[in-house]
Amino acid sequence: MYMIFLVAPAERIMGDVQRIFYLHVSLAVSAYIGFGILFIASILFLLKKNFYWDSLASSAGEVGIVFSTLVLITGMLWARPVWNVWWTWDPRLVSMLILWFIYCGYFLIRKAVPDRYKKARYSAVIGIIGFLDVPVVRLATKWWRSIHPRLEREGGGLDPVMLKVLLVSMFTFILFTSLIVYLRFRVSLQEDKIEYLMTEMEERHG
Amino acid sequence: MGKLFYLFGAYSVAWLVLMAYLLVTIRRINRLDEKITDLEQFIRR
Repeated sequence: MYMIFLVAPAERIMGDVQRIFYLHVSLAVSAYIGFGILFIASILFLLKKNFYWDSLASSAGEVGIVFSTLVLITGMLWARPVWNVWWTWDPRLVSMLILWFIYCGYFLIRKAVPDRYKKARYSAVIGIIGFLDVPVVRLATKWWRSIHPRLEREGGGLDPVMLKVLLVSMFTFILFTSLIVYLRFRVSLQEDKIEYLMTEMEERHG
Repeated sequence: MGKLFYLFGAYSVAWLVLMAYLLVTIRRINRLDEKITDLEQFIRR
């Protein structure tokens, strides 16, 4: 926060409002990490049929949803003073919204299917297909005409101080994401253990 | 100055949501731990 508000210089055109960028980009990277873990864990579940991977996938997915919701909110807060609208149908924004809806669907499926194995299998398939949208979100500004700012432009780039602040912010968020995924995964494992103990209790005591 | 307040508001909203999520998760861990202990004790009896 100190670096964002006091070290990073103000952007020439947008002014201080641009400082939301450090939060917005870091949140987006954290959301991608969450969905990336979900993607890998989903593949491992389908290969190994071990519920450990399903628990990891759903935990990371939940964290990804929280972060991507915040990406959309901070994006709107940034867009209002800069573009004069809260939302516009720009390719980057639309692809991010689609990604958000796909993973909302992932959790709706998990709620709707009662059978543990079917739930894990269906959601793993959605998790894997849904992740295909992540490169689309990332490359949307390159592929289509977009008003969304791009970090990698030919002949110009981010100011070195801004880049340093961005990297520090991203590193902090990656650490926070790792912690929250770990904690949320512990919750999933505990829930699995409770389910197992309940079954054992029913068998022993009727 | 107004823009800085607006910016600070945006950061506060994001941090409040993240901290609330973290606290809720930690609370869930503690509650589930208690439940597991209770169930294990009940099964051993």
